[in-house]
Amino acid sequence: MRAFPTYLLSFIAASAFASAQACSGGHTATPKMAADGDGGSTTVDASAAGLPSMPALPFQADPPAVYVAKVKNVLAGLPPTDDEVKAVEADPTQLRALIDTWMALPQYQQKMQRFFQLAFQQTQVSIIDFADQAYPRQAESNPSTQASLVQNATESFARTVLELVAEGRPFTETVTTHRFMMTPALMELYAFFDAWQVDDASKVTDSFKKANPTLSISVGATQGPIPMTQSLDPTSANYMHFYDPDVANAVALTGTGCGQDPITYPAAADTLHNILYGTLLTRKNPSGGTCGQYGGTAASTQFLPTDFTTWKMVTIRPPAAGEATTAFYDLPTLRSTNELVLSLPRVGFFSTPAFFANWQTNTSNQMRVTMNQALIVALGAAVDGTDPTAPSSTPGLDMMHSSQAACVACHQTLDPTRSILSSTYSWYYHDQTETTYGGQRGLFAFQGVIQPVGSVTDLGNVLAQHPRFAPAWANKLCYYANSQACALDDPEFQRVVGVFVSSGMSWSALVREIMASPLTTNAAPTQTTTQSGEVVAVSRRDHLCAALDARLGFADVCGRDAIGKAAPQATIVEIVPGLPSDGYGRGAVAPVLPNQPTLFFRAATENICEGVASLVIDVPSAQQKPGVKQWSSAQPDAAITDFLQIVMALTPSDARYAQAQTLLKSHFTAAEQSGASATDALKSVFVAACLAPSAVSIGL
Amino acid sequence: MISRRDALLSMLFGTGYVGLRALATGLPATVLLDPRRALADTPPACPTGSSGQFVIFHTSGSGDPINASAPGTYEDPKIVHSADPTMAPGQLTIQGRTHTAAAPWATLPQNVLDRTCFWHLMTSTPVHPKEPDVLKLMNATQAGEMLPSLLAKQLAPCLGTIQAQPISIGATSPSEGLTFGGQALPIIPALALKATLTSPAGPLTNLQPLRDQTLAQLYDLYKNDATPAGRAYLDSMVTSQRQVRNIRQDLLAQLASIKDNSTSSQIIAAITLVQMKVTPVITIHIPFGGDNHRDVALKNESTQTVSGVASIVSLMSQLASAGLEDQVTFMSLDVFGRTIGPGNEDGRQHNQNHQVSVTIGKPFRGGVIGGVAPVGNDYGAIAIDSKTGAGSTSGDIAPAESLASFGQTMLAAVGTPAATITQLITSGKVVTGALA
Repeated sequence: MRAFPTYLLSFIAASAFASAQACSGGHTATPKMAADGDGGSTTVDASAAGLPSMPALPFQADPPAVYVAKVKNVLAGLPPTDDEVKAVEADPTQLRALIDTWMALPQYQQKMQRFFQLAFQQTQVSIIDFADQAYPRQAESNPSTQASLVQNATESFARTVLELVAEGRPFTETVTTHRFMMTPALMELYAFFDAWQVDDASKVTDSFKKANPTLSISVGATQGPIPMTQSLDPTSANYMHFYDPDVANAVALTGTGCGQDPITYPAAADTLHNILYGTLLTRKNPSGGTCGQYGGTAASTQFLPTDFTTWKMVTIRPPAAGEATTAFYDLPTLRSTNELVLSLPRVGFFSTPAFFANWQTNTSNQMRVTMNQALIVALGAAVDGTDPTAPSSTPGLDMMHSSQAACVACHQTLDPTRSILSSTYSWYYHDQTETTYGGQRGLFAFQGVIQPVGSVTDLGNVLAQHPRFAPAWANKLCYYANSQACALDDPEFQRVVGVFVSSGMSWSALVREIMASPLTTNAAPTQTTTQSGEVVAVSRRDHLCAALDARLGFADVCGRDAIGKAAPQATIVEIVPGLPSDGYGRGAVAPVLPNQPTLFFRAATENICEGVASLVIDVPSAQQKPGVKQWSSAQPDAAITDFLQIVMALTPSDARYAQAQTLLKSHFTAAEQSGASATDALKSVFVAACLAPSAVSIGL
Repeated sequence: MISRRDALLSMLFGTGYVGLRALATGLPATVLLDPRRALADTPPACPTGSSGQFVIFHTSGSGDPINASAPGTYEDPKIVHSADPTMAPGQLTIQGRTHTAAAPWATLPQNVLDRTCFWHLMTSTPVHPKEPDVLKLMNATQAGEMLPSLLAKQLAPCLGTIQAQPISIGATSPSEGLTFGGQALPIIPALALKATLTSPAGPLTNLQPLRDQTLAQLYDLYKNDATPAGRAYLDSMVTSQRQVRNIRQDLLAQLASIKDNSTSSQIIAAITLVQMKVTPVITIHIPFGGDNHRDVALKNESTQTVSGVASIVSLMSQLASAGLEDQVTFMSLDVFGRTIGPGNEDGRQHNQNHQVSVTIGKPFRGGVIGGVAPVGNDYGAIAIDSKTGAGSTSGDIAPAESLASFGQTMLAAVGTPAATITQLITSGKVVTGALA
């Protein structure tokens, strides 16, 4: 017998991983080697990995009980019913009709909103990340409203997409739209950023101050509440006087010698913006001493709670000749209008404050990160030096980089392409006033498309017409549903993309097609599973939290909604940030998808399940939350039936159902026999069900 | 006689696809074949002359200006340092040799300085997205494994940790996250770690053994009809359940003081994870000035260098208090350093030619490894003499090989055999002059 060198074994193992990474965009999980279409044995082409060809495992299709549960969970977080599974077992084509039904559920809207937030890279930001756009101050400093404003900004575009989809608009409008879902608070932020322009050299042009050079703004408590209409009426004695009850405590809040009431500031847009939020800015008192900044309280802001929760579609347009831009401080008008007149162009996902906050640029980067991330979002590809697209000219090419051979490959396409952004926006994402950049509109050159662009609207149109747009978005759904990429050359994937295109870029058509496809169901082998195997993955944060909410009736068990503040338990809120999540890294084409059930996932879900158990079992009626499911230990059998069907997503016709039921019932009995109370015994059963593979995983 | 092909196929697909499942899960095949036996096995002996080292690994995808304050950059008067008084150049002594560095570095205790190495390296990239690639030593590691994961794999058997995978508790974005065997690992902030590992006392916790038994039966039930991928996944669930129960609950009280995800909280969490022997490698993020393109008078760089070094001092102090100063090594590696030449007084740009790593621990003989010299419009790392660690134009480690050599030396520092090192990292060489 010949010994097998260990180094070779290591190489083979390494190559297998490398191959899997290459096939799945860098995210591997448990590979199920696939086979040809007839379900028989076939051969995996491992030559690329340096492996000898080897027989694959016989393809094992997932049964309807598994994939119906998977698809419904992915779409709405809900478990399947027995009728639904039976319908698909009888006729697999019925899955499409079910998908349509599930897509009509409100839970689907909630899941898609979160998906769009991530996919359009509007998340992973905090208030600090908006500081560039509000330079030199923070965008907002009142602790009582900061999280609400950030949430508005990060949700806005996802809500925009949902609205566009609901209107039946083609999905390509996500890169061309001039309409955005906004709250009055977010409208104020957009309009403030328009009045407060920061150029490449950090110089601020304050159009409000320019228009009101002698105006003073005051804020006080003694005078009592001042109606906003008076504060905004130039004919009123209270014009630009605002009520802020915190001023009464200004000495304690901002320093000795700072007890003036009212406090008067010279006119400035950022001063007025901060006063609207109830923030007392740093100032000199009459003695020349410094009064510190105070962020404010819920009582001091001029915004109403509904200013952060009232969403509407708002059209952004440039001013006509001689027309003024929208006054950012006119909150009553912002509450009633559906239009913002702004000088700064806002088009599609790539020009939102949240996207800009996510991808801050600077004098060295000069919009390259912004453009690269825009390409990743819209087209699923990044500038990485492998693109053979050769523009006939390279306007905007950075000469320093062009002199280095290693850099040219990226810069010859990235620099001309990003020029439309650097000619439109300053490094602070305001109007570009620097003529060197402003005059260089650039040339879009990426992945086979070369096209002059004269505005960011042109850029949106080029992205919308780019041949990579449709497959990119189909593949984002592959990641979402299957935790891995679909193979671009997979005929089934190409068929799905074809349906998407022929539907007029209907998002609903794409979702229906991909969810009903064997790419998702694994009901039949595909080239993707042949190349990369099937992935069974943990139910990552968004899927898990959505499932707990949808199945158990919570509004927000994970505490991710800063405005709703409906989290019922603090411990769960603390655990949730450590759950595996769908993240995106800078320059990364594929999302980062931790798929494995690590010990931390196990520990986290156990503690979450224990926390949830205390909210749904034997809860005194006075403490019960409306809509949240409740079970009584006096009726353990009924509860266990629900645990099986609702939490574990097993239907009575599932082959695993009866035995799982027996196990849970036995657990209840054994727990009681060990001395536990009926309440604790049932809670323990709930935790077991909540930790069951089908409850915390996707694909079982 | 068995052929190479047969052996391969047997290994991967034999006995319930154990080989394939091992590949997929990152778990040793012995664990999959017999989890109980594997757990009971005595961990392999540590490499000769090594007691094994836990590693606390700092990394930043921002490319912080550590290289702008470290010893080795004060000999050339054209190099721009912060003029902030807190960053005034000062003398520090390492292994009897005097160096100049920004004042904060001199606050490291002498016994710590004597085992501190400042590595002048070239990461060969000026772009943030290459952070994962730099952790993979720019394609120099076998199978694209990241350095923290290579270290973890080598150390886990020796240290007998609960899991082999490293843990990231400091990553500020997914770009700073880790992979292990091709799998993305979750980022677990310090506060979440505390809430995750702490089992609330009470009846439900008392019922854990019974519940684990029920879950084990559920796992078996699900495995009956699962696909091979499903079975491999369920194997991982079984393993993670066992791992959770091996966590020492008596040490969790140490996490009680964690109230946020700050550097100090990360340090508390990292040390506790070491004491619990959960993982051999923990990655954290200590701000040292960040991506400071715009940094008037290098104010932010100054503030964060002061606080960053203070964090390292605190880490060393806490390790000493816990009696772990000889069992834990600190390492740092950023995606790149910053430009340090003239014109960088109000902010610094990315520098693909120069990044400074700091390593502290028993395995090291303190000193400055390599050095800097003008490169292009700024400065870059120079060649390193592998025997002495000194920077020298005649050094046998070219700047482009310095990153891989750093990785090789880190593996050597934790006791990895030479033959294994060259198998795991395919370029560079060990800087023996850096090792104690």
